[in-house]
Amino acid sequence: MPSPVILRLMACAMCLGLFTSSGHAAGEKRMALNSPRPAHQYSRPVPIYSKTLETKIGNHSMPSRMETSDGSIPLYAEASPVPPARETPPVSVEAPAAGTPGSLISPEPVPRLDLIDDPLEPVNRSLFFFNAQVYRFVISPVGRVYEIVFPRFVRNRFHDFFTNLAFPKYFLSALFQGKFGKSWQEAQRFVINSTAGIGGLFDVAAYTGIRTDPEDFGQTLGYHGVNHGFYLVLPLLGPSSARDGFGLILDAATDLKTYLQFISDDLILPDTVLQFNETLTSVREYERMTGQQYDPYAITRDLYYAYREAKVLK
Amino acid sequence: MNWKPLCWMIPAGLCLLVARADWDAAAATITNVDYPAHDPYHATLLSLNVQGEADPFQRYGKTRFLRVSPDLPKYPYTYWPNPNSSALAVVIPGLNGSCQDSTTAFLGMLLYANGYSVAQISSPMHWTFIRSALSLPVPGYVPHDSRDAIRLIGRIVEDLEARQKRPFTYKCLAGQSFGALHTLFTADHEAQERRIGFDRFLAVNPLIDMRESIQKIDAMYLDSLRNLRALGPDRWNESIWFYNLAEAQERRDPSALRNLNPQEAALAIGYLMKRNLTEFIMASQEFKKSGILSHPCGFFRKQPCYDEAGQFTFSRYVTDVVMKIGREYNSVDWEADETPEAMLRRTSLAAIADTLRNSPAIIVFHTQDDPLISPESAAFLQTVLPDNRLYLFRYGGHLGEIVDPQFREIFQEAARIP
Repeated sequence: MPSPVILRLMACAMCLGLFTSSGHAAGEKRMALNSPRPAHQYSRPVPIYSKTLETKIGNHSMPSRMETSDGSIPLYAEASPVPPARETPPVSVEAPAAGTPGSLISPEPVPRLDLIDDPLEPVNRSLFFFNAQVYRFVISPVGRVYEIVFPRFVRNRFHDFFTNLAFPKYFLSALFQGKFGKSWQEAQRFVINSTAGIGGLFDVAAYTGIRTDPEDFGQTLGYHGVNHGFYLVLPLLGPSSARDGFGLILDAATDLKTYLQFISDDLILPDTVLQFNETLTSVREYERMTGQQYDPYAITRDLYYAYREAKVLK
Repeated sequence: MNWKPLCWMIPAGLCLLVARADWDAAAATITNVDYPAHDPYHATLLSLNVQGEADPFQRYGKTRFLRVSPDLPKYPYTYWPNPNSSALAVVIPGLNGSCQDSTTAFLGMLLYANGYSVAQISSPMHWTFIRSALSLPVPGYVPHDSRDAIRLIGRIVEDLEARQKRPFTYKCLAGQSFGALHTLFTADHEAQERRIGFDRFLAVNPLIDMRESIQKIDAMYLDSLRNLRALGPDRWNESIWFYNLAEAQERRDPSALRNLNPQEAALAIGYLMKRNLTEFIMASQEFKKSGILSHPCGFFRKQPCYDEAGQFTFSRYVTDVVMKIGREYNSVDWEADETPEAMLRRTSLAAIADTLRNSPAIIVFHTQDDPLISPESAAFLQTVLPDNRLYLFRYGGHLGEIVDPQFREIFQEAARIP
């Protein structure tokens, strides 16, 4: 049994979001896993680029979304009208005529994708390496025992309870982005899950069709025009950015689980278990992703950036 | 009633039917019209969807390590033992695929279901291969890489036979995409000097004309990115495209592909290939000190290296790097007055046409709408391979046909252990 001091330190660290994987941190962690959504959501309907996005970027329809006249989303190109030529240029990937002098290589510089700046790369890589070792040598082995002790059903209840406690964070960040519908949904979810869901142990609201894609304060800042700044890897927490790192402080301040440990010392252990539960799912995915990758750091960084940008634009 | 139109409609219809039947018979084509994506780019990305199906099989695989030579680090490969079988299948992934590559593991799964024990190696372009099994400083010259692959597979077979204390009586080599090209070149080497004794070679969507394919891959990235950027930031957002790509890759659900239009899907394929190129250039620099890049690839600082490696296209890689290294190391079959065109011809299937024509052990699966090949290349396959050794699917893009149940049946039949 770890000493109470260690437990308290771990709990403090976790309450700051270091071990969380729900909400904002979930985004970061899951990007670290190359997986924007938790595994249990794979089978659910996916919220894809929505009307919110289209209104945000003006009257132009988003080329990455194809809709039929009845509003349904076509699956494949032949079954669906490809966006007209003026919206999306035709695919032209014909090879240059063979034998043309100099046709093998183009003298033009190769364009890059515009992704996030990384001026702190050496520090970030050091922390990424540190995190990877902690995941590998601490969390993963402990997790194996944990998964035996707590079956999947129990772990899912922990997850639902944990998510329910983060209600103020989701509610306020949606509200500050002017997403009143989403705030209302969050409020409904909290009331339903706290009552019918036995204190949040069951996500009853999801069964009644009230699902939501959680918001956080990093998104809120982005929504109001704050740029990422630069890429940042936080100890144990994983990928972040200057903007999202600041948002994390606001997230922690508006998350009820931050205050669990202050209510009673007896709650430190359950709180730790809850936090660990959230982390473990992410670590499993992280292990799957990083198995044979040449440079997991670079992939994580790029996906993190794209994921957060997409969240802000949604 | 006016019967006149029928006078020409009936003969015309009959002619069409006959023509269609003739075309199908001549091309030995599997007209998989029910294939869910008829756009070649979406069809290609659909191949990602077999990953979910291969997951449980992958978990069952064991990673093993061996040394190809004493001075090189250990090489990892994945092995699925089939206790009651004395047949071994070795599978090679496509460009930069690892020994844990899911799409390749899917082929392994089909072979395992046929009764084989399965070993999956990594692509000769993957960093584990470059570090532990490649004899040149850079990968890319297929005849030479295939010889390295044979050496590696030979060691794996020895290792497995030593562990199980009995020899394999039937051996099959299967590969997809670049891996299929390596498979066919391995078949050529085996035809000349039977070192491992493979009885069957299965190649799924091999690149046929290397020059044509690398130019198409380059164009998929460069042209698509240029076209999409021309739409302006209000109408095309890179981050959202990138996110949609990640969703399509990770959610393992065909519905995620609906977020990408065909041009974006083409960019996705081009980008993934380009990323692979960047990675194996970096790996060559880091593990082989190849000297391709002027910046060192440090453990904590790789960005300058990425920036420099990012300036390579496949075409430039072949022209500037493979040619240079080939000359310097006097690679296998290298000629004194080598030109990029001549070198690319020797890494294309035309260079091993005789083996393809004469070896009954080779079976090729391809698609007519593969975005990396032209109809002329598909026609070349038809000229060198008889109908019973070439299965040409109408739809599927590049590797997408593997999600088609028809493919699975045909592949398993082709891989049947006698």
